[in-house]
Amino acid sequence: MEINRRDFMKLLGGSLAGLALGGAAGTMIKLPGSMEKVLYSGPRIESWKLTACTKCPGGCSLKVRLIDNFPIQVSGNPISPVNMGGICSMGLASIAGLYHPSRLTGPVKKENGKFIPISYDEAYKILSDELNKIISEKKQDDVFLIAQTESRLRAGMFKKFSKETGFKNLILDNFGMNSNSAYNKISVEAPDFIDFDKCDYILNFGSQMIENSINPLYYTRKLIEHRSKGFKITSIQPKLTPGITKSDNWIPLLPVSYASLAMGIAYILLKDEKYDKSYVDKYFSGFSEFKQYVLDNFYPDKVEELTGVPSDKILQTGREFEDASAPAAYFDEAVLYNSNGTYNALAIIALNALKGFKGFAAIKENFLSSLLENEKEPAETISFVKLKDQLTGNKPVQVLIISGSNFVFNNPGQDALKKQLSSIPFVVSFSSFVDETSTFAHLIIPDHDDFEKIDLLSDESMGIPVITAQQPVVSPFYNTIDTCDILISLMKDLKPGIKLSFQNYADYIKQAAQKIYSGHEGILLDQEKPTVIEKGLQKIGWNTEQYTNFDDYWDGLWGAGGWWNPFASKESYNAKIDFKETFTEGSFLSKSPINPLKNKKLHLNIYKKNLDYKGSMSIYAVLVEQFGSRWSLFYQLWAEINPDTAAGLSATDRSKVILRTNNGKFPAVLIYNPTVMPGNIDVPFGLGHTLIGDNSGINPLAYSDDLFDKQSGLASFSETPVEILTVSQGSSLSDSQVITNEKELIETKIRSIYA
Amino acid sequence: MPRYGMVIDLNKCTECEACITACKLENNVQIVSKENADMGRTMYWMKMLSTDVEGVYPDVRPVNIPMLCFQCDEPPCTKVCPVRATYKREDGIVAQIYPQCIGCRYCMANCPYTVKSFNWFKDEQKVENEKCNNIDVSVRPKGVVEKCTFCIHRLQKAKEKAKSEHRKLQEGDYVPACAEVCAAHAIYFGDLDDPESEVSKVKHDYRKFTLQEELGTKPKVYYLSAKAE
Repeated sequence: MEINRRDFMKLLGGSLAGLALGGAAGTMIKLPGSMEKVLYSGPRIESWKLTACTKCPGGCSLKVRLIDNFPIQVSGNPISPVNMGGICSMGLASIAGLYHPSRLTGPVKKENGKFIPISYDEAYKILSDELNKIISEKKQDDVFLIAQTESRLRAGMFKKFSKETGFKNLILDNFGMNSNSAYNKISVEAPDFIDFDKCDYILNFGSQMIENSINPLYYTRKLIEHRSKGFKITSIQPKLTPGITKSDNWIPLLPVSYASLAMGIAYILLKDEKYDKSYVDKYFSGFSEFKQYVLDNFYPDKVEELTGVPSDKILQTGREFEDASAPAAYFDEAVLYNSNGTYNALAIIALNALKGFKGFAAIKENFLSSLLENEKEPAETISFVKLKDQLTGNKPVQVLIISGSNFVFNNPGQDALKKQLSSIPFVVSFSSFVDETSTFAHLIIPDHDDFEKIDLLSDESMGIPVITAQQPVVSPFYNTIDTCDILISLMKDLKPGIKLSFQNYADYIKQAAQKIYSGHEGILLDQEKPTVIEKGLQKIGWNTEQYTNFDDYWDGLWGAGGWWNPFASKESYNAKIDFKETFTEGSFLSKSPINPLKNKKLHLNIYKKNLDYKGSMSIYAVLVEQFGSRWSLFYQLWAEINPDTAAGLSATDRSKVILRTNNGKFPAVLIYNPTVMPGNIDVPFGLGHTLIGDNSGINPLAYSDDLFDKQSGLASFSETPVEILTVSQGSSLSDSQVITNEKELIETKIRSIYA
Repeated sequence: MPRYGMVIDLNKCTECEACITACKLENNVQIVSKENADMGRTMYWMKMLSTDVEGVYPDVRPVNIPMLCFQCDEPPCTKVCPVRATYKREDGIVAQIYPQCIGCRYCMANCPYTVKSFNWFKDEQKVENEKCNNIDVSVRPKGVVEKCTFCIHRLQKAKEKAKSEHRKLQEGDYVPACAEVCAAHAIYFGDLDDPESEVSKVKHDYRKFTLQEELGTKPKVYYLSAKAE
């Protein structure tokens, strides 16, 4: 069943009515009685609605199955070019979040250390009074906003709020924006996408492209296709994750050393004179200094010394990269998760520039840029490190506004952060749950669940503009409100006389849709691919719209689940790169890794699994159970170690160990894994919540060193020294046999289980 | 009569485990509590079997495969069931009749692939998962064995839909949840006896293998080797 305009307005009306009524915050544990009744005794009428998944930046289109108008199940929309019917575990599990008993059912304020329900009106008054007071005292600089969102329109709304109210300290945690932050540092726009039509070699620095990336499901299909064409993928990563096994080569390397390796590969290109001279002459400012710097500092033996990667491997990789006609050295947000993050990204950008960014491309006359004009607004964002510095330096932070971010859980240095948060006079959170961060709030005004929200999610990573429509598939269950609606109300109250062209966020969305409509390009997402006739018409400059006016288009957008422009053409990516100032800062020479033999200390390498995205897994019971199922370890933390490393430390497989860092001790089950980098202990991130959802396991970030990439503000996940303190003998698995035949290997395992 | 089967291309499989989650949610498979999991009691109709690692570091590759009931043509499990609670249908699916199961677990003991689970306890789903239960699939009571059914309830729905549209069942009408969600399109499903079906075509790929065929079980879940390509 598709939602028409009238239904949509009804839904919206319902949510606004809920907002107007306010008050009546119910209990925090169950659905309203009338809903319960329908849910258990309805006539079982099935319907389907389309919406978008916001669990990661991908923005997959979802088909939601409703029984008696209650969503019970999701599946992938086969028509969507983003996921083509596929869906990941997070998307599948997400529906349960709607019914989670810990969801806040309305605004709460803290009194005597406890949260008590209050009306929306009261909550809004507390918030606006507090912010008005700040403005009247001209202390806007003491207000910090921190928002984590994968919606670029929502990110744009936060920027607008920041600009209009003068609360300039905005920290935006958005995968795409984080990934492109290094390009911003050198004042160029990032390329839109990997041009898979041309790209014949991918050198992947740290990205879990098919697990946690800008568009995991698209990359899943594309990388399989890329390899089937006979093209290579080399992944540089500290962990051989399941996704990385799909690469042809894996170069194990700690992220702090990515920059050195990228420069080492650049050395090969420069020495062999196999770089794109015409591109470099035209677009690479400061090239001769850059060349000299690389030739002086990054010869293979030196890079081997810095990174531990054998010089012949560096040579081989460099040669593969230089011999490819359109190589792409790819990175995303993951490259920043270490103290050298931004310099890693800059070195990789330089490497791409040497080959003229041939593996990448940009969308010609990118239509999304006009849709997302707020993204280009001058409001500056700051890094999370600035907030930390402000708090550490005992500089005043009067108000902290938190949306969508559980940064206490997702970052190291948690004890200090908790203390500092407690000292902030006013913290407001828009979290749907009392989590490790929102527990420090004085006021929580809960946001809707994703299935109750409206948004338009945009994507360019496929080389064509795609908009996936996130429609509310159900009216809000509780007295919750869209955070962006609060921001809009606040803008009006804090800045009297402000002229906004929209009344609420749904209005803002509608205006964005109007911009797409007025472009008269593309088609609705109701067909798998354009027809031959449509292609022909486009070729001769005719438009192929299936609608006659905006109202039809608006209805169609929700019915089809989105819009796309499969006719968009691409152009070469030609960015002007200026490294004159950047490379002289000297941070491409990364730190030497800890020598495990010298001091018996290992690296704690915290890795992300695809079942978790930014610490959001714990409310989904099915994901928590599945988290360690591969190792048959449930609801507990494990630590993977290379058997060779373990042999030197007298630790047995499957034994319970205590790991000690500079920040404390924690238990884990030791797993022998021959794919782990010698000298590393790999532990997964995602378990160990204390307040939200399942509380089993340990959060290794709580024991990590408080290290960040200062430029991007992202935390280091792999630079903490760790040692195995005590080892108690556990039930050991039998020694693994060296069997090379795949079939025999599997059967041996089955037999061992059967026995 | 079709003969349903599956081919899993390990070269395409990214081990993302979405098939496992989809299976669990589609079939209302119980989420086992921490206490029971600690006792080794797990409930998966589909699971990722981690075996070992090939090669020498750093040129290593772990061998992991998604494993489910192989819907054997000669199923050892049905032969030992004293009450015919598990039987092979005409379309090749090895089905379970839960109310008929007496919980003797002979079938579990006789399954060489260890893909059956036993309900040791009364279903105690978390409230949020209970509300999302798939109404097409019954929740199994305590004391019965359960396993993958190739999402047989979907076949029933697909048949009804085709009938209402006055047409025969076509390829793609009936797809189990695991195959439907696979982003890599690594799971092929359909009629193995239909020479035109995709599944029967890929089944003849030179990379094909089945597991423990020397036992004579004739599994209808085939794998395409990741190594051979």
